[in-house]
Amino acid sequence: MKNPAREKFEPLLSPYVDGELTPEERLQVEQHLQNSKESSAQVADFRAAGAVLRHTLDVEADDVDWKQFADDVMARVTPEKLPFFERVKLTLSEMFLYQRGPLIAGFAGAALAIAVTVPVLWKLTAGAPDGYANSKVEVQTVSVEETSNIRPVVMETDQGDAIIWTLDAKDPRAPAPDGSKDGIKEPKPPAPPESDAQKKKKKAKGEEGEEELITTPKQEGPL
Amino acid sequence: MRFVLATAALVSSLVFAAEPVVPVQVEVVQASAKPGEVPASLKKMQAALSARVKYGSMKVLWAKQLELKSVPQRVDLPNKNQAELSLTKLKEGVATLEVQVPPAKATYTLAKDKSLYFQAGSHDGDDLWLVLSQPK
Repeated sequence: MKNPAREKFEPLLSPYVDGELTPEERLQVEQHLQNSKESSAQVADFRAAGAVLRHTLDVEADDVDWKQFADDVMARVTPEKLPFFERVKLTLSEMFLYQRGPLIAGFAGAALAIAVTVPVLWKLTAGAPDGYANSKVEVQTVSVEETSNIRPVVMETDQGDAIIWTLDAKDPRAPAPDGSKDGIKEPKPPAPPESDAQKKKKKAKGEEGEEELITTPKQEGPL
Repeated sequence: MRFVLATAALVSSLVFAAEPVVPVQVEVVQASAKPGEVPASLKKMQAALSARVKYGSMKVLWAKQLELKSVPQRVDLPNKNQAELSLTKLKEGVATLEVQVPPAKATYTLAKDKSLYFQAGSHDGDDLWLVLSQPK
């Protein structure tokens, strides 16, 4: 013959052992266990079985190498690796989607760095600064104010330099108004008399006259 | 966003609107026929001018490296005159400068390691020269 109280409390014994009952139910089950030896024995069996099961699982768990556990799990959940182009495309699209501001700022910064460093490097590596590509100075125009008495004289040296004299008309070194070379006076030692042979040779080479480049430009306009 | 726009504008201005600039070493030199000292840096100038005038003493009164652009830069001379220098053209690596020392004015092209000697009047009875060269 079955005990009606045991019939009522028997389904609650396993949850009682597992700690799944409310405090009120737990109190009722404990009062029942004081009066029912069968239920108490069943609870003791449940607890013994649980202890054996926990011990068995602990022993099995000790035998397992957990070091690779996370990697193994991730290897199972990670899909197959995408091709390189697809990965780049995906990365860029995600960056544009979620980090557009910093990305554009980064590109702008890189462009700025290139714009600054390239000219600097170019200047450092070039032999001469930009503007000095000529091998000699070339005076293109010389002019003076109409009311001025200044007479400009341009002279280019053998070394490639240029000289612009601005001499007053009264200056004894100034060129003559007709543009002849006599205006600039400088005593020169008299040349030794040439022989006829030397004269003929010089004439053949066309070396008559002075070799110095002395220009007396017009008052305005290019030389 | 404003930062990005400002940066883009700066880059654009650097790339597309960069005004050409040419560095020039400018010296104001006083030269006298009286015997005296000539600094080593002016020996080359003394030799160049000796074709017409034999200067016995020379000295640098003022020297500065200028970054020349199209806007004229003024150089005050000790004889109360004022020189004006500007870049008129920069084409294929050759710069053309305009030099104005009233009442004279000249345009010329720069050359590597070469100088232009521009007589800039007189000062204290001596000749005054404006020397334009490539910076060292």
